[in-house]
Amino acid sequence: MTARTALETESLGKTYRLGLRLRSVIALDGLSLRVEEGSIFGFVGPNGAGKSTTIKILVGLIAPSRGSASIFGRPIADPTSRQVVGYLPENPAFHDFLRPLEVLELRGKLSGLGGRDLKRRSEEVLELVGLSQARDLTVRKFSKGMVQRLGLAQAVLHDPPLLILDEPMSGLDPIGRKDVRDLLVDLRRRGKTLFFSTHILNDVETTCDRVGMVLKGRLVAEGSLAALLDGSVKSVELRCAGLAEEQFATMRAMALDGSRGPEGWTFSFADPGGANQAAGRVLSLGGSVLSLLPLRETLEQSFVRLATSDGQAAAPSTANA
Amino acid sequence: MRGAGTAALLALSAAAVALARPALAPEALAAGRIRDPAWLPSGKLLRLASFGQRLLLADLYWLKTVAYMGEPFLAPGRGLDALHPLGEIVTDLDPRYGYAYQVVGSNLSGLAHRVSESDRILEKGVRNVPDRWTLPFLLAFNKFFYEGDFAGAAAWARRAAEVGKRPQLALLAANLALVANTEDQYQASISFLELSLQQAETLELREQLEQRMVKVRTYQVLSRVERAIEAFRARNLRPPLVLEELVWSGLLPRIPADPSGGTIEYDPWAGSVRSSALGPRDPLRVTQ
Amino acid sequence: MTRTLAIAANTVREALRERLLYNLVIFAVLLSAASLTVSQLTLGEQYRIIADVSTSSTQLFGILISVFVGVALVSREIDRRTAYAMLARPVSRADFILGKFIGLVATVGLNLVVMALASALVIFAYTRSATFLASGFFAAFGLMLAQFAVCVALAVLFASFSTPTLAVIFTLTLVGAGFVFSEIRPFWLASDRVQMKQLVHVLDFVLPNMGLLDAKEALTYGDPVSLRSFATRLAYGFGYAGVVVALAAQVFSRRDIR
Repeated sequence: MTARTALETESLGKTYRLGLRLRSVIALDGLSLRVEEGSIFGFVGPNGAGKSTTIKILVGLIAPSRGSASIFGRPIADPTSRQVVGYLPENPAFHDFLRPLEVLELRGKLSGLGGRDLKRRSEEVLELVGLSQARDLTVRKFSKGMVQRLGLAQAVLHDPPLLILDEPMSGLDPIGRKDVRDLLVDLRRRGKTLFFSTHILNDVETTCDRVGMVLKGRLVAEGSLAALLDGSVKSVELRCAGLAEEQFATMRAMALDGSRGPEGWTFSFADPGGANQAAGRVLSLGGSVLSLLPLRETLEQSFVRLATSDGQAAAPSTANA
Repeated sequence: MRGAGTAALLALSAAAVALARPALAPEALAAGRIRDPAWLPSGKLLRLASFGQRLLLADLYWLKTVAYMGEPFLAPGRGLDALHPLGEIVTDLDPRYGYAYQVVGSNLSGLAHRVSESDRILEKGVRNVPDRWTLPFLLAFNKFFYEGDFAGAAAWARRAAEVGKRPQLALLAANLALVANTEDQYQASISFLELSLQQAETLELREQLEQRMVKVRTYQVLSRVERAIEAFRARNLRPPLVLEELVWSGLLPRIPADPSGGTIEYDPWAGSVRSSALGPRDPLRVTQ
Repeated sequence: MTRTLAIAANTVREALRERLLYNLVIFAVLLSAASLTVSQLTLGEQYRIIADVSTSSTQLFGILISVFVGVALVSREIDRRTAYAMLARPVSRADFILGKFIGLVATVGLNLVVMALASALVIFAYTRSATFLASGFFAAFGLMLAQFAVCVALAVLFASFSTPTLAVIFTLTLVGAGFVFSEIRPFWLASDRVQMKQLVHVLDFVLPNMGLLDAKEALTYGDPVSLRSFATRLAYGFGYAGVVVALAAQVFSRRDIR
């Protein structure tokens, strides 16, 4: 059985008219993509590229100026298309004065759940995101991370087959991010489709099947991770230590690049051959080889390549995982 | 050091207030006093601007009016120029405020001797609160006591009696008609007394009304004879010798009977008539 | 319908838990009690001052609450983005607006009951009899709910597309115009110029006739108000509010939530 199309957009465009003189601002220009059921799609781009705009169009917060989109075959203009979507907004906000279960129950009712089912499911989902301890606190007392978790909880509350998440890792500490990553993978394993946006490329590299890169409102690249990355070895990195200071210049001359670090020296070579040679030399001089690592193109480098080849000078951020 | 600065500011401000307040005391008393009635707002304009709270605004202006009426006793010499304008404001805001018409009306004539203004506001009251009998009653009083318009007073008194369903006031109305001494007033008074008789519920009142009716009829007759005598005197330059002369010269159809049961007596030397039972026509004499 | 009611219930909960109303209500109640003292300043006819202060303060504070809380609760949803995850659900924009409206009317209704109760106690304390209940009390206070509904509807309409400050200004202006219009209407109708009569007919549709929805005089003077008159006026008020809410739903449906 071929997988259904969970999400599809066709030349989606959005132009705003801002200010007194109503000057046009193009937020989105001809975006077309397709997400298959059961996959994880990563939507990357710098801030202001149009990621949030796309997502808000998909969930009905914004009306598109041009083009169309559909969710599981239903056009987004139809409010019932949102029945099967779980949406996590960027920096979600909830009514301060409510407690987490009350928040979930309100959202659940709006999605058509009710009664004992809703209560049970709310408890489950609260447990799932690790907020059971906070059940008696009002949202006003939540930390940013807790709010983010609650946001995830309300997104999965009604067990939707498609999850649309805007910056799901934002505001979380490393443990939190790992938890979310694990949750996403688990959801995918259970057959859900995930579409999430982020400006942190590292998150995408580790979880997504397909990636879409958007820049200044246009989709500049789209495809599987493997297809996007140029798989060939770009360079080989050699790390060594224990050599005399004078040797550095010699080593440096053989390599593309070299630097001194607190734990040793790092050199990069254009190919494995050159690196091997240099490694032999280190050993013969009495030093030790700490690591020899072939480097393939990272998503970041791919992004920069695409961005600069496109004539744009935008740079993605590279927060550490 | 910041704490000390705040404390100093506080102390200084408190001292300033404590010293200034007593110095401002006389001004505080004077505040809110209405100096020039020309500066008072128009009632109609206030209504428009009242944001739906015209009744409350009427009450607030009424309190102002009450204070205004009381002031001359504290600071004598000040007139009551603003009383009528204030009354107009209150009754423009709430045309149904019967008590305001009454108090302002009675004080305008009694306290301030501004009878025409009093009449105006009382008449406005009669138009807008037709079932409040004190208003036509006060008008009757104004007409009688200040303006000498006895016919008018009698008419208003009848209105008060009718509106207030107080047949006793018919007695007052009848007296006023007697003072007015016109044929119209006598007719009106008799009709009204008849009406009141129908509504009279106690025997005592009934008797009073009947007695008054007799008096009115008697005075009516006396009045007719007096007028005939005047006409004779004008024509012949002398009073008639006997009442029959009036009949002969066609000024009276016949010698009228005395409704009070006595006879009409004529004194040729004084040229005056009287009823043998009730005496001469003396409307202001306080008797039955 | 359950979705709409869920939003309505949440709106009431917000108003209560956020203590938005308490200060105003306490003030209104204190004012009514103070009227007992103020009434001593007049010669005679003290009852009407007490009745007027009670009804006027209930009405004025009720209108202020309707406008300020109405604007706040709708604007807050959008500014603080609490609405985002709600509007992304299969609930239509119209349901959302309707839910807010119902919740707000319920809130001001609750308010009204508290203030009416306080007024009744104050009047009872003065008159020592309950006859006022039969002469205009329920008409005077009951019809205020229709006035508040109109204010809430206008507040929701303007808050759905404008900034909170402007929304308050627009709403209060329209409500004020509604009061002025009800006073000036008979004069314009009696005018000789045809244009005035036409203007009145146009404004009859645009402006809310707040004077029609006002029955404070019934309590002050003890006028009897027929059930039919009461019901018709209530219908007018809620009808006008309904049209405004429908308009607000339309406006809100076309709005981009950025």
